[in-house]
Amino acid sequence: MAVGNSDVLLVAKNISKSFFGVVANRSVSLQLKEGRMHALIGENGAGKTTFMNILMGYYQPDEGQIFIRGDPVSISTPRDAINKGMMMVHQHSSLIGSLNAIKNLVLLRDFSGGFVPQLVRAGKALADKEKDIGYELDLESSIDSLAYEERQKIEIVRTLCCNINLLILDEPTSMLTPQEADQLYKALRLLLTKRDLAILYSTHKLDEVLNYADEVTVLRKGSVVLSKPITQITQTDLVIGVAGEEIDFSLQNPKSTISDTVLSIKNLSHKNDNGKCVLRDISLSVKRGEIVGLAGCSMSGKLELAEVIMGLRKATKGVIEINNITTTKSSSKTIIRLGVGYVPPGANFVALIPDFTVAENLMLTQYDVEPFSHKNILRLNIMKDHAEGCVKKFDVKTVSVDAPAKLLSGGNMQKLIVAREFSRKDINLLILVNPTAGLDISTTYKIWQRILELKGQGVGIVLISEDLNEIKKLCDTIIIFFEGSVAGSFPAARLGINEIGSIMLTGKD
Amino acid sequence: MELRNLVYPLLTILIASAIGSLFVIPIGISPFKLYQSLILGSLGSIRGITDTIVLAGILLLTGLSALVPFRAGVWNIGAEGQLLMGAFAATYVFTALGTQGNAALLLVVGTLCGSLWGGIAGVLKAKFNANEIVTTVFLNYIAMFIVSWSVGPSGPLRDARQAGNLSLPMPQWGRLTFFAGTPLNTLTLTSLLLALITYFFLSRTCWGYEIRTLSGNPLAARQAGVNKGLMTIIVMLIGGGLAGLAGVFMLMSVSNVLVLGLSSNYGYVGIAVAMLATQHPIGSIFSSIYFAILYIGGQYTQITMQVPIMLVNSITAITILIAMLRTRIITMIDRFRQILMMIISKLGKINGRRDDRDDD
Amino acid sequence: MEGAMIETMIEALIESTLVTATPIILAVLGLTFAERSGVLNVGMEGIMLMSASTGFTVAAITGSLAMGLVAALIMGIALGGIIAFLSISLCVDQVILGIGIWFLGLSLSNYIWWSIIFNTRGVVYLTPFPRLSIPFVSDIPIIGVIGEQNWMVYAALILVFVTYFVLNKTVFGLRVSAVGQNPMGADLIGVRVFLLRYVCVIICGFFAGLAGSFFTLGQTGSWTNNITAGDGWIAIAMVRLGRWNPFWGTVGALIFGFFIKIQFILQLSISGLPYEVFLALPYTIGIIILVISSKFKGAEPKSLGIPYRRGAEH
Repeated sequence: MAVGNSDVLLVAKNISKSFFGVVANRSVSLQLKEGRMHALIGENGAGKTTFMNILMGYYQPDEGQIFIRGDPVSISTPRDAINKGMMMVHQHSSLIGSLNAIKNLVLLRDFSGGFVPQLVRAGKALADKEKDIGYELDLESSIDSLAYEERQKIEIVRTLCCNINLLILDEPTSMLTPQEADQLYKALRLLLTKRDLAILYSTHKLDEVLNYADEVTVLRKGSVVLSKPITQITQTDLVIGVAGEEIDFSLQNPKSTISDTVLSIKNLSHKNDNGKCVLRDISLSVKRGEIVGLAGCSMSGKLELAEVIMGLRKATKGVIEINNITTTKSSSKTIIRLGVGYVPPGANFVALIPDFTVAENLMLTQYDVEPFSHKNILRLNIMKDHAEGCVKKFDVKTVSVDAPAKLLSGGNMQKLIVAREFSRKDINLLILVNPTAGLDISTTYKIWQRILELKGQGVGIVLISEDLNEIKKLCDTIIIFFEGSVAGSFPAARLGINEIGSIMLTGKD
Repeated sequence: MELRNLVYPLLTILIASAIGSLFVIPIGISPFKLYQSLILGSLGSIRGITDTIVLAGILLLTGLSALVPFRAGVWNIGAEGQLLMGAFAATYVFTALGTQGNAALLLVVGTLCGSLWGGIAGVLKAKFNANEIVTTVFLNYIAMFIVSWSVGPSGPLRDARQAGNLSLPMPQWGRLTFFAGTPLNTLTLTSLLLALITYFFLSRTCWGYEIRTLSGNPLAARQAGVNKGLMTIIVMLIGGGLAGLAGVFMLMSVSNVLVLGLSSNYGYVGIAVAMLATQHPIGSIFSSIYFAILYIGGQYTQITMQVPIMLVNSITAITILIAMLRTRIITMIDRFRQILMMIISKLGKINGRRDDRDDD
Repeated sequence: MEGAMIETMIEALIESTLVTATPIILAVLGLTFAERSGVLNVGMEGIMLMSASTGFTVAAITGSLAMGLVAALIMGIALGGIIAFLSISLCVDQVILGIGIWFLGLSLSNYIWWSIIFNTRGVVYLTPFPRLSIPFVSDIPIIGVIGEQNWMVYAALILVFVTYFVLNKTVFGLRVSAVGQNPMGADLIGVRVFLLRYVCVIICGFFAGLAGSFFTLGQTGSWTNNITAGDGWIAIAMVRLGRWNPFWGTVGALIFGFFIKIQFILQLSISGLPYEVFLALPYTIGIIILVISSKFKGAEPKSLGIPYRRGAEH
């Protein structure tokens, strides 16, 4: 770990921020030192992104002060922060997809001269900085056409082309395999040796903190729980700090009999709108009482497969059967009616209707079946009763089931969507994509518990997740996707997380 | 029903009317006198009240015709043209049958024709993603020219006995009252009934639910299996039909002949009716009465004070804009209420137990 | 038909193509700025009408076309500013805003003329901007008529190149595209999203003012109700046809103008069809344009019509 030069670059003192009465940051104080890697750790929703966005001028703190090299500063816009030498790599990319890396750099900083000379200079700057960090990137193609990992690398290199003293990264490894995460941290450490730089990164993965950080700050529910050099902390300290208590990490795994096939996919291929073949000859099956995990990198096709199964994309070749009924060309409605539940990625934005009440949202996949409607007429009191049951069972915090869903917090929205599908009586098959993303640890465990319960009841479950831990914990079988094909299918016990990551990256066992 | 559902529309009306009335100052008329005249013209005589109620019935129909597609995220700006096509079809049948003709038949024909006219825009949107705002506006112009041709010198519906470009006169079946002495005539009753049916349809049926998901979040609607293309066409058929019906009723209660200028923008006013009522079918009953007062009063004022009807159209437009702002303000107020709720629930913990996992 | 007649007809055809297309081209250019930055301006027709009426009124009162032009431009910019404020800062629904502005423009423009001009002076006729005579061009037989239009026609054509250059070959244009495609991403790296959108919408208002004033000051010199007759809407269709590329939108406008006039000329020789068919033709073509635009490539700005708010995730 780096020793020696420890000039204090930035001090944040008592930063507080609330949004419409919900406290995101409560009197947060920490120090960032040059040459050091500082990890900001906490559960989803603890306030990490908010704090980082305050440093970057995107939000204004309600209270508190920021000092750069001892001088108090006021950062009122992102442009301000950039001018003061701070740059951030965001969790959801700030790159403009239709432009290439060079144009994206020109957006960020001014090079002098006319339009074409600027592009030339930007291209050179990117090519230079690539070397600093050891990357080789495609600078000419539009960002949309590149894989997630490459986009992230471009975003990092772009920040290096500015005069920066502080590099902030928000959950940089959430979508990376363990190998890629390792590569990223090594590149960041390399960077620390080449420049006078401080690095602040956030994560919710404890081992990333222990292995790579110099200093740690733990946030819980918006407040700082501890802030110390890594040498003075143990893993237990971190766990307790993050969760607030020792969590019972055990899950009850009910006995389940794996019986007949509920989902069968044979030789499935799919071309996307650009004509690119994103799924190639996929064959797999899921049985009742079985949890099948799908793991893969960003362009591996696993997300597209979920949509093809749900009828949101059409297969170009192959057969899908659900409950022995061919559904390859069926509409989403038909498929849902066969007892298929879907928790999509980014569920809060695509699976919920903000102006509908909580009760109405809970009906989104069942409004046209008995007992919730009869001869096309909705039965509102039955819907309301069901809603109250769901809200209780899944601990959705809402003022009432008649309140509009847009007033819910992000975590509660996610719980609502999970509750909706899990509590269906007609459920045979569940397709879950990142079902616990953005949820705190205890809720995550509760949902994992429910998934296992459903498995015990004979539901077939497809679990698609970036969280390899989640896959390893819950699944019976793990299927790894690589560039649109199945790279391998293994019983979960046989593979360790690192092996999964390796196959995801290379496609080979 | 919450108090604010009453207060906000009233405020909107006040603000819009106030702004609109400022426009008469440059020509030397006092806004106060203007309003006096508007109210006198619409509510100051039996004839006025009857006319107002009749027009309210028409505007309610065009309001509903805008409202139903809006709730599905489809912008039907074509009530004007759909109304004209309904009137056109009814006149055609009426003339073809030698001015015999059963009122019910004409109403059905008009509704169907308006429905088809709306359906064109619906199909174009569903199949080609053609922007429905532009297509319905263009179809309005085309409908206008169809009507113009049909009662023009070479047109099939022109009444040869008359000097102007008009069709043969139609009996005023729309004004038939069921109970003597009451203003409830066939037109008004039909409109009220349709408003109630629309309310029930949107809030209590599966189709209504599906329609509402489309304006709520089209992505979520897709996940839920709602067929957006089909619903787009259906709501445009419904919207077109309602406006077409309004067109036939226009012939049967307001102007007994088909003539260019039949509708005087009542199709567009329907949009204002819907917006003022926050796209609520029952609220539209009240907003249609308001606009009817404006327009009947406006016609009266046009004669007595020489203030052209364009002024009333301006007030209508301003009402649309103020109503649009109101939606925004309500959202902001909702947010403040949310903060208030949070603070209150913290001050007085209802359970009494300090729950650590309180804010998520 | 005689040669001279054919000549005159072709000249008339070329001229009316240009004259019909000019206001549409101007509107298309303005809309391209606004829509590329992600803001819908459905009320374009309304701004054009207000500018036309204001320009005419001021010109009639002051006796100066130049003053009228200035007034029209100011009206356009002012309305653009109001629309910008409402849609960018207050984040209202851009479709309803546009419809309201259109309707307001339709009625208020007429009211302005009525209350200020007609009421006091009756029907007024002005001499519109004069034809220029471009030295070499106007000497060419037949097509030389291109060189004999008023200055606004040439301004429109030059502005097409200017618009293309600004939007595609400058850093400003790069920022506009960024804001239209990913406003949050642009905001996070310090691009001034709100300012850029304001600028683009006000530029759109400026173009609308120019387009509107063409009708009253450049073409007829008089006022009629709804003088723009849907050209603002045609422009909206053209922008989509050209997939937000000003050149293609301009080509579309020129073809449109040409086609309309050809039909009129043919109508003189084919007696069967009533003249309303030809009046309705622009709108029929407009619908067809929208239908075929869906077949062309070129992406709609992703954030079009969606207001941007910082911290929308909360």
